[in-house]
Amino acid sequence: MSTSVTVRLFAALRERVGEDRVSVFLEGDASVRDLVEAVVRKHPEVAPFERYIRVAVNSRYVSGDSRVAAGDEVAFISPVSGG
Amino acid sequence: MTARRSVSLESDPLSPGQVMAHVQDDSAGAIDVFVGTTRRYTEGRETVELTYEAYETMAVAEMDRLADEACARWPLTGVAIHHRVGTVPVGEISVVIAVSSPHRAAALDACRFLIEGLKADVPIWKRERYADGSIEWVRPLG
Repeated sequence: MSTSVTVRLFAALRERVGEDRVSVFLEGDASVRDLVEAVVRKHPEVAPFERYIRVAVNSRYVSGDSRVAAGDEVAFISPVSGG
Repeated sequence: MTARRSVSLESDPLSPGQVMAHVQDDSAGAIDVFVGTTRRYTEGRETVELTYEAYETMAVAEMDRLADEACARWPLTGVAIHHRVGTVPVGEISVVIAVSSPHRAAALDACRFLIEGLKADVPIWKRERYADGSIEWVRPLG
């Protein structure tokens, strides 16, 4: 079974890709790590950010082992600079 | 003890007095207020304007999480975190954090914890427009 996952992008990452969201298809019981790899394959311009990205699911940071389910709101958070 | 709480993102100028008012409480003996402002010079480059972009729902959720954590660690009577979004000229206020507690040590420590946590975890990004005309996101790769 494959699931379409949409990832929201912000700031430098959004400008780098030129879109505020990207979608990829994931097979079966995919982890957050699989999701990041799938996005980098589809959008190689994300690669420089890969090691710095934190992933948020439903507004919470999650680990690479977490699972992504259909309907989750997923975002890639590049290093933040508020304050 | 349930602490007073106010967390928000604001597109209009921030007022430290208004943020502080959210944490005033008769059982508080101390209020610590941190005010972050937009700086003109960074490593010799002149900034004329900054723009803050937030992942708004998560930024508010993370600020709430930090406030929860501060309330679990210290006996607080109030926590307020207000952050500006959008374009902010140099010299204006970008963030105000106010913390009240019965005694000053908790307010001071919690305020420090909140601003450090905000800078590390809250999904807000700053873009600087420099005097030479260039526009850059701040440390996009950490």
